[in-house]
Amino acid sequence: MASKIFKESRELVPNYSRIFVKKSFSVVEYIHDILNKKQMTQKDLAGKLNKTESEISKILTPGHNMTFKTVSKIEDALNEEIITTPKEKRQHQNPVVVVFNFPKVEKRKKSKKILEEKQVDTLHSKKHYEEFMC
Amino acid sequence: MKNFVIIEEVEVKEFERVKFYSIKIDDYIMNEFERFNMKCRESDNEKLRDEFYDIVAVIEEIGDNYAKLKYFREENAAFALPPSSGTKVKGVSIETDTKLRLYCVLLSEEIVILCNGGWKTENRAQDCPNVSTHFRFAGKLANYINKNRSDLLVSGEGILVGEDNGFYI
Repeated sequence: MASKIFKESRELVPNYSRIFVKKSFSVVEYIHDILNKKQMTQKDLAGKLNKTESEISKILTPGHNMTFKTVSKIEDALNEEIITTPKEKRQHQNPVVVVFNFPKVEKRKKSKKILEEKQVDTLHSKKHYEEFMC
Repeated sequence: MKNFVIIEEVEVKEFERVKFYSIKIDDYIMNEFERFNMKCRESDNEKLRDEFYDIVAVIEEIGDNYAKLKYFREENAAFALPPSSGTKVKGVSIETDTKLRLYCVLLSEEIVILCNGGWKTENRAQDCPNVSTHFRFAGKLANYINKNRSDLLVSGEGILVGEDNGFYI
C-alpha cells in the first residue's frame, strides 16, 4: 500500500523545486551526451576549462546549481549550445517558417479558384438539368 | 542488539520506472522514510525544509528515469540523496552545498529502499550526531540485502513485503 505521508509530502513540494530538479538533471544529461558524441571525457573538459576533474565532476552532478557563467564556459569549450530560450528557438526557426508559409498562401488561393470554378460548373449543371426537365 | 525489520511499500505504482520501498523497525508505527518525512516537514529550519522538497522532487525524477548510480552519492555499502555535489580534498569529502541526507539501499535500477536521514553537520557521516545512526543502519541493511538478494527479490514483481517476510539485522 502506498504511503499517505509521502503523498502528502509530494503535495507540499513547490513547483519550482520540480522545475529545478528536472532542468538540472536534463542539462547534466545533455552535457554527458555531447561529451559522448565528441568522444570526450570529463578530464578533457576539465583541461579545456582549466579546472580539476573533481571540480568538473561536481559541476556535472544532477541537482548541482550551475551558474550561467559555468554553462557559458562549457558551451564555449564544447562549441555547442546547451541552454536555449524559446525566443532564441523561434529566431532559429523563423527562416523555415517563412518558407513553409509561402506555399500555404498559394494553396489557399488555388483552392478558392477551384471552388469558384466548381460553383460555376454546378450552376451550369443545374441550368442544364432544369432545361432538360422542361 | 538486533532489530526486527519489515519491508513496506512507499510507492510502487505511481512512477514509470522505479518502485520505492522503506523499512519498519521493531515497534515503530511509521516506516523509516515516513519518519524522515515528518521530521523534515515539522522542522523549524527553513533551509532543511527546502532541501527536503528538493529531495522529494529528485525521488520523483528518479522514479520516472531509473535509479542510476549517478543520481546518488555512495555511502559505503549504502547510498544517499541528494546526488553528490561535494569535492574531495585528499580523499576527504568536503560538502559545499546541501546538508540534508536521505540514506537509501539500491537493489537495482528499478528498486530502491528509502531509509532515514537528517541534517549532516560534520564532514564524516559517522561523526555527525544527526545522521550517524541512519548512516550505519542503511549500511547494515545494504549488506544484509546484498547477501539475501535472491530470497527477497521476486522477479518482475519487486521485493517481498510484510511481517511474514521480516528479518533481524
